[in-house]
Amino acid sequence: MKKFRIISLLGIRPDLIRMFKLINLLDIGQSKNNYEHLFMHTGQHFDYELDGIFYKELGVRLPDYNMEVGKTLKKGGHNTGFAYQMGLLFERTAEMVEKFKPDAVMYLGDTNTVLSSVVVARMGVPVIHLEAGGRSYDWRMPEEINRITIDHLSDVLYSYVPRYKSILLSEGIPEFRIKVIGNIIHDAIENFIYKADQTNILSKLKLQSKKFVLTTLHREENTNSKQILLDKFSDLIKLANEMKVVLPLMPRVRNNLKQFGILNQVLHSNVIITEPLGFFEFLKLEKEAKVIISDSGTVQEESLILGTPCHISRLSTERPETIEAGATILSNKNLYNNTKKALTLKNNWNRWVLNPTKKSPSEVVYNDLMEKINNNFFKNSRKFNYTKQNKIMKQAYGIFK
Amino acid sequence: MKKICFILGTRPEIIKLSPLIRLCRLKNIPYFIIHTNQHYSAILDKIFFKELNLPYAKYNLNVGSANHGLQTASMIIAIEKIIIKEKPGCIIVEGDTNSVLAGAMAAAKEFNITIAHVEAGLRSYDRKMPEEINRIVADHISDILFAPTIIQKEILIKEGIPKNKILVTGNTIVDAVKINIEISNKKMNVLKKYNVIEKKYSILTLHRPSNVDFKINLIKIFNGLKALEKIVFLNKIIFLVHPRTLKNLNKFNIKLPNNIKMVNPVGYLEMLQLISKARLIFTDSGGIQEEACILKVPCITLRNNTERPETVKIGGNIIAGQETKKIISSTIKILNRKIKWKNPFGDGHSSEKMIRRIQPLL
Repeated sequence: MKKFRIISLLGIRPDLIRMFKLINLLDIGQSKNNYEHLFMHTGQHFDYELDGIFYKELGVRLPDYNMEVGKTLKKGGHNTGFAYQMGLLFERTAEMVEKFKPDAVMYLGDTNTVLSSVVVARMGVPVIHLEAGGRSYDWRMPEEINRITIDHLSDVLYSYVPRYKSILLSEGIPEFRIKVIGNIIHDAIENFIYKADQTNILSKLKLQSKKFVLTTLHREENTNSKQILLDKFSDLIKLANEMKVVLPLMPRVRNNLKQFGILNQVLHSNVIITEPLGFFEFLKLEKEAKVIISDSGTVQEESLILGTPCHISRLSTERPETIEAGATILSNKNLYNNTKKALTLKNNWNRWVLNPTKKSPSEVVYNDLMEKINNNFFKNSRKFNYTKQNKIMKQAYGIFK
Repeated sequence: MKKICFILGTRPEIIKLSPLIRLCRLKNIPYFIIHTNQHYSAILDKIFFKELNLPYAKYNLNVGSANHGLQTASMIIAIEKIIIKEKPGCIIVEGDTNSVLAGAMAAAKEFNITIAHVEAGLRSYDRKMPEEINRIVADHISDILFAPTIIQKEILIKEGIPKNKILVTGNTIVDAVKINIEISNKKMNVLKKYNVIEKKYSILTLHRPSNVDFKINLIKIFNGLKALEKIVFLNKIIFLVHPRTLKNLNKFNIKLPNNIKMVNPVGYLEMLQLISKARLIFTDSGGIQEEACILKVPCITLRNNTERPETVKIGGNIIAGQETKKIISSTIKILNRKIKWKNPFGDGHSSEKMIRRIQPLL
């Protein structure tokens, strides 16, 4: 009998961090169960060589197949805009499905990579989505479209918390497709915090535990206008008068600062500007910081789990749980005051808010996948069920024969 | 005023967008057409545009029919280029083809372009159909959804789409059929051409892979139609043969029963008149189910599902599938019904409602 073939298809580095345990579980499980696991990468970004080191650091094997989307676009001197990226991604995904003939393809998150699930679904292959049901209800965010699209195509949806599940139900997605698993970032932090502790980043940057602010701002809403950048950074300088501020700068943000002619204004004896940091070093800083200022959803989650108060400088969030838990202050204005406010948060909040059952989310997914494979869930998921359809049609259209 | 951009790729899209295009021309609203030529017949389609008295497409993408990943990919890239150049205020796509998907995708991240989806909210709940995926994605990306009936509006609301994005307009097919049947009746006489008498002949079309790629399904369908000759005197069935179907008929070496007469596929206007004067329609096409319903001709659908349940609900259509027995019983049933249904697709003024909604956004 042909073995069930499941493909994990990732696109960017943070996905790999979240998926490392599940990938390993699926690799190991092949010897015990009747399925094959392939691990693939779309190569959405160009940092391809960097990735090689990254896999090693995380203890994940190299992918079986890399679509090299970003690399191809860059090499060919193409426009790297959305349409070209999407075009190539669609083309390569179709080739991949034809070549490997998977029985299911698994995605994580809300990057452009997940849009390739459109091709997968159209070729009749079931789609699995991890991190399903996240919504910011902010239509200017490109990720929102990605999330909604893949969620409505997926055959199996793994949601982190019950609230995500109720969002999906309210969008008419049938309950039997949805399972709440807890936030998968828990697995990553639990596993990698030891490695993070081994780094010497604190001494390298001459920092003392709980005596500095960690800042990462990268979203376009925070970095693409001179006025906003100026606002944010003058508040940061104000903070720097009180304690050290660590500021890893992404190349794009650095360029913007240069372009707007405000890079000099950021220079302050207490502001430590660094290149983007490695995952482990960054994790260590998150753990040891007194407070974090960020616009990243991942940092928002990690800071809650690590027990560091956090000010999220954004208009909206997909993760209101961290605010309710008392770990996050959300606002896109007045960085200084809101950071001060974050400093007053008592860090005795429930660190398991994102994973109430305290089970390993990767293991929950793995076990559920095994059950579904054994029960022929995927085989039947796309099989056209006449009676069922009639029932749905009846619900939708009233009585008709 | 910014322009409206129509993206279309197949005949049904051209037909259903034609009332909107005509209205733009009439009201002097700036617009242009992108034709993806998804069905690789640019020259044939030029004739078609002329037949319908429509302006030609400003851009022809000539993507051809490669694998649909590649096809959609090249469409997205080409459409984005045009969008950047023309800066339209609104993109209008129609239906469920790859062109719809590509059009919506290419504009999805341009926040100053309104994407309007005509014929939104249709669902067959059969995920094996690639079109179903296209529908779902297009509906969730679009900013304005023109639902043909309240049923589609409810489906969309159930999928979590905000109410203020949805407008029930009726289906532009009614607008199109009303105008085009007039043009057709002036231009030609199909009764003469096929040597048939009004309401004494039936029509058969088959093109879906689920029917024509399986010998057994074709045989079951033809057996049913053969039996019907004796039962309800269906002695003349005009079979308009799609090239794919013809190829498979030859491959499977299938002989047609005597009451079925094979003819080449015909132009849209001719088809419309053929439908309007027929006694009964057998089809697996979605568009023909609608046209038959609007023209008040009973229809037997040779599929297991439909995205046009309204036609079933009002009694003008029966979903018979491919089983011989079911085809026979359905035909008897529908011929015993009186033809007195009200057209469920709207009043023929859908295009005006749509333009009224879009115009202030330009």
